[in-house]
Amino acid sequence: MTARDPDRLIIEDGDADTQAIAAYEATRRHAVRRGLVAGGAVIGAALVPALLSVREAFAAAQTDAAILASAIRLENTAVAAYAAAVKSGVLTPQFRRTAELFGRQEAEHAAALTAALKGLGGTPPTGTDAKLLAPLGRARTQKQVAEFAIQLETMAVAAYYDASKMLQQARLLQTSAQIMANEGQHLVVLRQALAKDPVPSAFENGKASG
Amino acid sequence: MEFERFALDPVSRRRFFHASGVATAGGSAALLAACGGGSGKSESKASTETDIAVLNSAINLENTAIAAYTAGAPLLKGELLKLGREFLGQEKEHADALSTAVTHLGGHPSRPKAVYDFPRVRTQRDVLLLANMIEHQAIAAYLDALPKLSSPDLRATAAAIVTTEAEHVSVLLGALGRPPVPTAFVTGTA
Repeated sequence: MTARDPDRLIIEDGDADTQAIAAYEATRRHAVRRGLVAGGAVIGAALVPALLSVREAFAAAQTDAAILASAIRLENTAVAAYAAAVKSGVLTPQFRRTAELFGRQEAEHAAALTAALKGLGGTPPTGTDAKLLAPLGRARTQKQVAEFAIQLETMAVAAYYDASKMLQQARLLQTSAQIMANEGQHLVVLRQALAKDPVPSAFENGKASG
Repeated sequence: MEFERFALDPVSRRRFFHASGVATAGGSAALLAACGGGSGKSESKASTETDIAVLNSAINLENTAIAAYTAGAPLLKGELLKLGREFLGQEKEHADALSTAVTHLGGHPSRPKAVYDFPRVRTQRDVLLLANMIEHQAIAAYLDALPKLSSPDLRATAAAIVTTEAEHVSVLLGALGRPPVPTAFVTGTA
């Protein structure tokens, strides 16, 4: 293990979050089991620490408005990720159409969540999380793009799973679950593209599936 | 074609799900909720009764799906047979988890019916259509139930099950030659 190993979670500020480390280790072990971390397939694994920080932002949100703001930022990042994937030049025409569709659906999520947050009197965040998008810039194959997207969608599922424990308004709870289910459907297509089991878990909570 | 006519007819679907112990509203399944208010019961007792009623209705749906995948398996081939068996195992996991939750709440879990009166399925395509119909009903029902569940953990479990059922739907739609992710919001309506 080296300090620069992209397959490692580095805690630099000394303020270790044991739960985050445990979650990261569980995710990494699963990734190793599924061969994600072997050879050149480290794009997805390199993304894990940044994704965990997003999920922690969800978990730390105390109000419906704060959860919505976290979700909007994640959806905006997903929109940017699929746009970057489309422009990467490494996708087949069929996979590019899939990435375009998923990007449009992430944008629909962002729009609905933005309307909901405005309805609560909140100000929607703008911009994306550059840390999340950085590994995508290193993707050189369609397989690497798909692995990146699987990690992103998996963490989105985990974030909405956490949100389902905290959201207070019934309508928001249902919208969150509808979006979580859609992210799960994205995962099916992405897993099938990589010849993986499309539905590996009876309880899709984003914590153990790749 | 006989089965496709059934699957497209909301009245036939409603009769089928009602016979399976699943309430329907507006053509979609809805999980039953006990009426807790106004009876002098404490709020926590009423919410526990609601949880048990909602969970038992969900168990009825899961048992219907288990029966459908079991009945349909002989008509599935190759990769679809493998996936059908996997989905069957996952529906059983859902039923087991929900039954455990009901028991933990002090209730009696719903038991599978002795007979499920499915419309006749003759081909692999019929099985896929039947499974797709039941999975859609399950998604709609769980979404309806989510806000009625009192505990955060139960709500999260329901959300995880909804997502797995939505994943089943994607596989089934793909096998039927349809777009696997047709909408940005999975509602369980066809």
